[in-house]
Amino acid sequence: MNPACILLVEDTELDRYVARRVFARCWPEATVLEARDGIEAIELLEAGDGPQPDLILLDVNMPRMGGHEFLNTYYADSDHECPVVMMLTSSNREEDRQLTEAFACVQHYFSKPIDRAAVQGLADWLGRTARAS
Amino acid sequence: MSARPANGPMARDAVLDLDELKRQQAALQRGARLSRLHVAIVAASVLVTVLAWYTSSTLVEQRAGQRFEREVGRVIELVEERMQHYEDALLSGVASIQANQGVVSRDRWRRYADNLQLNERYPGISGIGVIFHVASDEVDAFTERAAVENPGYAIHPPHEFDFRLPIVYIEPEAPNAAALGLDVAFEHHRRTAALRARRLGTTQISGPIVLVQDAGRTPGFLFYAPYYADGRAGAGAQGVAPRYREQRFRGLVYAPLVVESLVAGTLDRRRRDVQLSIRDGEDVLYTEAGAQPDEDGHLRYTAVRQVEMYGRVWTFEFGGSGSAAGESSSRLPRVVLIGGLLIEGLLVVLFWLMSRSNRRMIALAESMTDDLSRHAQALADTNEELRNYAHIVSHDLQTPIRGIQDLAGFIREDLSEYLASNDAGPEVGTNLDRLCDQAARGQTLITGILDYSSVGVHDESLSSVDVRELVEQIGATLGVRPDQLVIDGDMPVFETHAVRLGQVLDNLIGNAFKYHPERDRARVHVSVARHGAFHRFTVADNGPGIEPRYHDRIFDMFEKLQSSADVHSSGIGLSIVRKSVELLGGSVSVESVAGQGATFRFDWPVDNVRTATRHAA
Repeated sequence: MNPACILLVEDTELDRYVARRVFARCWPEATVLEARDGIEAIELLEAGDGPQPDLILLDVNMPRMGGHEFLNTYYADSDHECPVVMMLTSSNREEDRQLTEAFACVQHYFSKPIDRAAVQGLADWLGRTARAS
Repeated sequence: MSARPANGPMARDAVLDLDELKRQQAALQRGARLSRLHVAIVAASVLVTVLAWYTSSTLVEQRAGQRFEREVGRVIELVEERMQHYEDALLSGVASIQANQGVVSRDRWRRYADNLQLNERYPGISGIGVIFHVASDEVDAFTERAAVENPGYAIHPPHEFDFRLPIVYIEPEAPNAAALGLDVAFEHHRRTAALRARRLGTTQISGPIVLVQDAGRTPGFLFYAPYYADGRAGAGAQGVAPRYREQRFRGLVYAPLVVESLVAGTLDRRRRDVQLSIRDGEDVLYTEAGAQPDEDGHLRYTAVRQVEMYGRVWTFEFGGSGSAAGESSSRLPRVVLIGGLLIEGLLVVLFWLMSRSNRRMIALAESMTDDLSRHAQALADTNEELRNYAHIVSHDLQTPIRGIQDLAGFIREDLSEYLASNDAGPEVGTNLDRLCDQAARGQTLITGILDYSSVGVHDESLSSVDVRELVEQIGATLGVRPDQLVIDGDMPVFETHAVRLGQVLDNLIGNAFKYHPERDRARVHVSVARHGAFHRFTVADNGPGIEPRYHDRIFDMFEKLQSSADVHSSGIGLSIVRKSVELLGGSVSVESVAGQGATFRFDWPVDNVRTATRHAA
């Protein structure tokens, strides 16, 4: 599988562990960066010394700065190019979807936990779009 | 992590219904005031009272008038009757004289008068006497003869006429002694009446005079009956020339009368409702003062009657109040008026009391409604909180359970080689399975609670539902063969809460398969029939059935009849069914005998536009 850089923004340690493990098992080529909330994610992106993510897995509900707030703070009204964003949610609610309608980069909603099938799907989908471009 | 549900329709509906109550209350309050209707009723009652008063007073007036007229007639009749009675006495005196060929003596006259029994039979008459007609040249001879019977008899007083009309006999003599020898020609009234009687041959009365024998000097008159030498000349005989009568005129039988005695003997004033006065021309014959004035002190009725009375015209003047003594009918109009006004007063008081108590009741109801409103609001708030609480708690519980599932999975993954080996502890794998099962069970429960708590939370929009499609979809999801889920008859396509209806059917159909001991042989029939404003859904299975004693309990939360090993059985499904159906105003029931399958029926409103809000509160 193709190497890729994934940014996982997730406050729950267990969920991060699960994601990390699933990626390690079925997409070992991918680099997984981790941030515990929106603020950490912005710090990481602005540091600019590491690899820039091809894909952000963004939790909706987080302390300090949630997923929507992160998108609004970092990508809205700025020249930052928005990578592909996958929202992670446990509620799968209509209202959450409406909040991100303004962002074209938000491609998908995942119900947590992220599992093998989901990661496999992500890898395939990213590979296809990479080939297409 | 918080997932607050939107404010449900329940609280809003409670407030809406209370607004309606408030409006009705305001209308009632307007109605509780003294309205135009009340005023109209009182006005009508006053009108009736006044009419009744007017009618009854007119009636009483009429009756009083009639009574007065009757009384007037009666009084005159009685006076005339009495006068006739006296006339009879005089005429019988004439008859007695003529029976003796015109010869009268003192003794004979006394006998005659005694026979008359004046006192008893002719009350009011002072006496009865005889007057002779004496020519001027016969006076001395006459006086001589008379003095034989009455020593000292003399004619008096003198006058210028050439004839004498002296009273010769008078009985009883003692009280009338002053009259004996009186020449009635001496005075105008006495004379003219006597001459009139002579000329006409009929009984006549004189104008008003004061009788010589009346010590009281009250008005009186003389009553004359003429007698003649020829009996045929008298008694008003027709065709007799006055001249003929004058030639044969012998004298008069006469009676002196005091008018007061006449009236007293005739009319008992106590039994009379009118007061009377009698005049002869200008002269007052009789008068009564202080007769019966009415309550206002006025004589309301008066009448004047001219009556031909033996050659004189008497004027009877009457006055009266029109009411018989002690009669209550004259008070009737007043009683009607006062009674009526009293009733009106009571009506007004009654209306006032009614409206006051109405106002009080409304005020009470208002305060109760306000209390209710507050309670309803508080209850709605509490319900909302509880729902949010259930939602949040169950939502938050999902995270650790899911973590447990994941971690158990990872352990199994990591131990896969060990578990496959021979020296693996026999219970490690089993316990891992049990751990997963328990976690799955917890997951199912929480999902159920979430589903239950979200029923009615979201004000779902309506969408068109093809029930046939929906049922087939459920069958596909459950993974059953088409012959296991049979649709009987037509299925409606209608606008409704699609998600909720799907949830209900999913639960009922799912249960039928879930609880069937042999899932492959399970068979479910679904049918729908119109039932008033509802579609009546029937879901019948051929499963183990439910004993009737459990029929009420199965719809309660967490009530499971089987201690199923199935981790996907939460015991909440039927609670969700009932809640969903009842929220829309429908009902759900079960019909089943153990061992013979179960039939669930529920009513789902055809028109959902309003039912959702109407029954939510």
